[in-house]
Amino acid sequence: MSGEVDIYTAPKLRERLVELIDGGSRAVVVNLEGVSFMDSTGLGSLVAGLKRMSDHGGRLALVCTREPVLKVLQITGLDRVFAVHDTVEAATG
Amino acid sequence: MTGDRFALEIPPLPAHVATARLFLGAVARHFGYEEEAVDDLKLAVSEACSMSVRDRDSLTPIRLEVQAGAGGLRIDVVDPETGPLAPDGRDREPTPDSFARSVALDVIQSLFPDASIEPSPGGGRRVRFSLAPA
Repeated sequence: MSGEVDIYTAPKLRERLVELIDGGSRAVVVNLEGVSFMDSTGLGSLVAGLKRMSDHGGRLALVCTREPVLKVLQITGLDRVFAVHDTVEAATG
Repeated sequence: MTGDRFALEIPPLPAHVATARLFLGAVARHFGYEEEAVDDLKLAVSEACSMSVRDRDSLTPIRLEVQAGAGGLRIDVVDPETGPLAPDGRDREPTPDSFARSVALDVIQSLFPDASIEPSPGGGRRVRFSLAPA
């Protein structure tokens, strides 16, 4: 995914995650390397996705090395809730 | 740094929160702030505006005011209609809105420890925070 994830765009992320999980996906990697901005509303979509995935016994991981996005993950403590990886290969390995 | 004042009004709609970030980013760059500080300002203003957007039904604009002075930048996000203390709204289910509601002010205060949310002199509420000179 790419661009900015805020109160305007976060619903699209949430819908996509719901679509994947309800479609049977049990291992999803959200690649945030193209995301230039994310706030707590964007994180809320990821949290909702993680909860839904956990309810189905699946796994949702993030790929993120971009400083602004890592920072909001750290501030909210979600860097300890999500599996955050440097590369897609590491996330899927 | 002079005593410049910058202001912008945006409709309290999700699509316009990005406009608020662009505005504040441009003002901060004008005063020579580094990208990390610009990113912090954009995140804080996004949180403050989103708090108002979530709480509002009417289209009365949200007002952004930046006062630049010797002490740096003072940022006010004024919502003329929403009360000073919005309902906490914590839900047991981590829906996107409930998560953001519960952490938005914490995020702002993590970035800007002096951040406050208080009644606005003209009515409604005001989120205020400041950034030391670049």
